[in-house]
Amino acid sequence: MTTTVESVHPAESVHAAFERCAAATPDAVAISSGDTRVGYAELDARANRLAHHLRALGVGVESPVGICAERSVETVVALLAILKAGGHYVALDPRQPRERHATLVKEAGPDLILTQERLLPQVSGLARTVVLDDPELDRTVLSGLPATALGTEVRPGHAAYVAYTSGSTGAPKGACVPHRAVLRLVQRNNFLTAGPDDAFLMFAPLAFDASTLEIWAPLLSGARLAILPPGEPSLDELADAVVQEGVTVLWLTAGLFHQMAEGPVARLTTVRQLLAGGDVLSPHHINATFAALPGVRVVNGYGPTENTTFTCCHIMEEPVGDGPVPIGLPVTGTTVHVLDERLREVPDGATGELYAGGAGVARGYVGRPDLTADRFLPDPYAAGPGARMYRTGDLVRRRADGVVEFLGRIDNQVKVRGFRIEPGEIEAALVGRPGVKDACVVVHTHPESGKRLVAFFVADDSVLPAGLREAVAAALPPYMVPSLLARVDALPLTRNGKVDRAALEAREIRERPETNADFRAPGTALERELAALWAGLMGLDEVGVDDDFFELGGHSLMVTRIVAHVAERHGVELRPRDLYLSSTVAELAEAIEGSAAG
Amino acid sequence: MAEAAEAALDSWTIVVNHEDQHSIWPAGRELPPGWNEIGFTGDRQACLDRISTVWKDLRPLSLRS
Repeated sequence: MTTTVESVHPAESVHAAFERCAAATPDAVAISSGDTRVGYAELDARANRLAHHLRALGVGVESPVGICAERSVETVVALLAILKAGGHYVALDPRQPRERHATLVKEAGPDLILTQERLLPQVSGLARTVVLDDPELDRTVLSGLPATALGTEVRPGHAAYVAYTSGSTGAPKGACVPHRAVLRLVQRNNFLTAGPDDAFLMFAPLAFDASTLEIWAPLLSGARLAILPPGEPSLDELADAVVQEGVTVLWLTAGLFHQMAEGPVARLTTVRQLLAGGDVLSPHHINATFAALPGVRVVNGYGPTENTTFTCCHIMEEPVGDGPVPIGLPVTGTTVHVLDERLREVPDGATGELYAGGAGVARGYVGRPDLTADRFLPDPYAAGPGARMYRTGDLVRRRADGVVEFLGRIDNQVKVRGFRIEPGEIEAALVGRPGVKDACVVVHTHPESGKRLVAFFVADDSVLPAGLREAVAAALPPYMVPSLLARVDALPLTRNGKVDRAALEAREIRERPETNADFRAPGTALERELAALWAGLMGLDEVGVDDDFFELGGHSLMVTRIVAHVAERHGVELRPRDLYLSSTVAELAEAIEGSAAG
Repeated sequence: MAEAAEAALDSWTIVVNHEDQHSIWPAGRELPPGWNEIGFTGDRQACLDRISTVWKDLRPLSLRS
């Protein structure tokens, strides 16, 4: 008789689903790490022993257990053991300072932290500790404990883990995710195929919820979890590890995906499914990936931690055209509503906020009923009574074919000269242009000229800012066209691999930007005066006399200032439209001289 | 006029479901199935502040032992 994972009833818990895999394929490799191989039955037995130990230390249903550990076999054993004992894990990121661990421990309340020898100083004193890689633990404690399951009754609504995210205010929020939500992500979903021939790379930090997919998708599918050694790998080290471990499914944050597509992507020959997300993906890099890896499937995975890793996925199997890459369709077990401020559905094609309902919705934020009630609302569109949906804070629109397009964060929404603007929409328009690899749009506030939109972009040398501006102007309303387009080699990233918007908001641009014209210094006194005026208004060190006013970042408020200046100093009444006709310092000087002479 | 419209946009009522999960809902709108008002309405922040004082255990009711 053969038992397949698919033929049995849906599991009640993550560890029960794993146990069924272990029973079905006890000898299959569950974890690989360099030369180390751990089979399913062995992993199950090791986790059971540790679970008995955790139970003896007081861990039961709904107990939070801290884990501060690097990627390793014993870390995976520990996660399973925590669940088997009925508890849920609270990841403490080893890269974070001890004070942050203290804050999280105080809030999430674990009185036990599982850690590794070299990380012990980071967490000792915050709670009782178990050192997972202490040889004495195995020899004197675990070896004497049963290898059989505890048989704890854990239900789908019980907590599996708490993942902390940084709120916009900076205070960390711990999203409490139930077993049901993890199962809906990794079992029989519509964005991933996973089976015994697959290997997933354990790469994301435990504190980052991509790890939910990386760890539990393989272990609940009879596949293999390949562990990348601890530390931050270079692109080449990452590619080496992928090939050596035979990784077939790989998750990369958008920033890293773009770097990989520029770098050693062609070496990822074992990868059949490449998932990327967390920020806007560029068609250029997706197509570079298809060119380097024929037959690969690229998935744009979108979703907040509060709806368990993925909410929507867009699956691509062939090169894509220019234009924004959609976030696709809701993942299995998730419903997506596009709503206005009063929670009413907006028509297809209209901009609204994405609300996610279904089995992936988290329980809420640990210890914060107010924040929970603010973000987790009654779901009037659910099939069953009393359901909730999560308010993502993301602006989207749904196409007539059901595919969802991401437009940006409500938090990032900015107001410039009275217009409400979504930077994500501009970024998507930029990244959709041929040759443009990445873009980030922020607001700079200049003491003279007020707020202006600045687009930082990464592109081939063939892409010129003037041409890019024209293309964007053809696609977007005038108030959304960036005042300044600044080329950069790469966008700065935060430690979680997201674009560091704050760094770009703080980056001062005083250098004259690239324009269609070569630099020519002012010749006449009037040209010098006008060039100095423009440079002052625009916050630039210098401007050339053939530079176009709008390419330099000029806008209508500056036009008013220039008109006033010329009237006062030269007694010439320009009309604002004169500046649109004579849009360089040289042309404007000529126009002024012409008027004064006439 | 504009202020009245804004006030109407920020008028919420506290609701609770069978799992004792609390949330807010636009005041005056028909309640979604399975949700009941607790009898407190106000602006968003007032409702959230009140929820902090009445909802102490975030575990679903059916999972509290």
